[in-house]
Amino acid sequence: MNNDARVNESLSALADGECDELERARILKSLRGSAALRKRWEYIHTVRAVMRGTRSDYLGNDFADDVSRLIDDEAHMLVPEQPDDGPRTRRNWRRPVAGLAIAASVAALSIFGLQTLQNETPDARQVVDGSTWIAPPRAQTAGASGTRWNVQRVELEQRLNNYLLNHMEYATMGDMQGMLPYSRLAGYDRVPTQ
Amino acid sequence: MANSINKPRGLRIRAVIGAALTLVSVCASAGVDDARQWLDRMSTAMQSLNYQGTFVYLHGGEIETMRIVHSRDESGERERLLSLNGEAREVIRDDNSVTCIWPGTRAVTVSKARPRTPFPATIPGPERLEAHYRIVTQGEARIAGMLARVIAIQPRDEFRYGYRIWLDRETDLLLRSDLLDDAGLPVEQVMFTELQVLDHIPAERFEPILTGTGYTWTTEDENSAMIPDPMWKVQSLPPGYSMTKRDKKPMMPDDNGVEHMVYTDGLATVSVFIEPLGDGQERLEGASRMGAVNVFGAVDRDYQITVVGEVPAATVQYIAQAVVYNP
Repeated sequence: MNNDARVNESLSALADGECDELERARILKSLRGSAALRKRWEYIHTVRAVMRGTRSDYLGNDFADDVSRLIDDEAHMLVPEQPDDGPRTRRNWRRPVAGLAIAASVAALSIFGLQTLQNETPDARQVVDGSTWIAPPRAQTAGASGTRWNVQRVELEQRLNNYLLNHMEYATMGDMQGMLPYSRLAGYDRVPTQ
Repeated sequence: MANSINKPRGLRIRAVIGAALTLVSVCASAGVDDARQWLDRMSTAMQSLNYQGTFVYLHGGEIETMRIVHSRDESGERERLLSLNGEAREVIRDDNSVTCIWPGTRAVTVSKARPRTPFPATIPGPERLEAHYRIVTQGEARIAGMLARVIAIQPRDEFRYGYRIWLDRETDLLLRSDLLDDAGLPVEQVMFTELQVLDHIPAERFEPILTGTGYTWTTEDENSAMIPDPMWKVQSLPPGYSMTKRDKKPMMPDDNGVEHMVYTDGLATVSVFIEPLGDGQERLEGASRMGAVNVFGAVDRDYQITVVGEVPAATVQYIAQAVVYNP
């Protein structure tokens, strides 16, 4: 395993809350000392946020490339090289599971990872200085506040959904952007994530 | 995830022409007319090409990853939107209907599709657009591995959001779109991470993954149109907005018909909904929002007035407070 792969694995482990105290302290120290590593840390959180559907702030220009690359990277990270004596059949079923593993393990653990970092570093925003965009998934906002109307009553929410559906079909942007504005429709009715 | 784009022959030729045009327009310091032309071309591309891709949708601090499929052939236009995170919410649209499948509330809604404005006449005239927006070209950037033209549409007042859009230089497809508030901060962003243009898209890609069995189905009745009450009026509108549509129909099971008026400034759209409040029906008074969509509710006698639009809160409030019943 080369050095990059080892670093990636360490960051992933940190994000997954799988480090012991000693390892965590070591990685956090490295994070403080390296802007590149901090950016890498941001990437890991973003790709996970994308896969999980939790919050991120604003997209930078490189976002799409970053996400594509990192989804690829994540798949590699989560499917380590098989030992030579590993049974062939195992190799075959492990790969498709990678996506699920990411989705499941990321849910609570990436947030834990960030909280850990926030505890260790007094100013969490510092961590992302120098990157073109900022995407720390924050535990306190990881619910679905943005995907549902900020009204508390179900009946009212359904009425607003209906209005939005009727509105959307007449929105001028539908002529220009096709189906994309309908993201607003598919974006609600989401069961809140924990 | 591959960043690939497969171009049919026609597209390649267009791409060459497009590149040549770009060169010319750059030399002539691309201006409003070019930007408008690119917007027209975007509309055409979005409605006429066969494409499929994955995009992220950011709003209100949430990320959704979605899949889009679009085709157009002799039989018409078909599109499908599917959320890849959480439950599989889907919107499927063709020339006749819009079907929304919402597993969260186990509901399926089928409503009538409005005919799309035939391209390329979608973009309002330059005078109208220029009166309320400043359109500038902002060079080029790379999105999802593709080179894109960047166009900014900046509002001239606080009654509309701004837009920044990225158009693929080869196909004119929209690769990224930001909706910006008056501080220039995004309230909503859509961006492709992967997009393919194809010669043909098989019909089965437009089939919903959920059958909707056991769901509550609401289907808009062809004959449900009612006569709007002309006494409902919007006394004054923010600058640039004018009415483009007015009708009345039931929108929920058992309701008595909802008045629906649509206003637009050419880009932004606002809907006014008016319906009688049923016994014990919840009222909505004041502001609400979800992502880029703002809502303002008011109650006039026994009627609920609700204004909805992807516009600033000030706009929906202004319009809601201008609704009167004037016999």
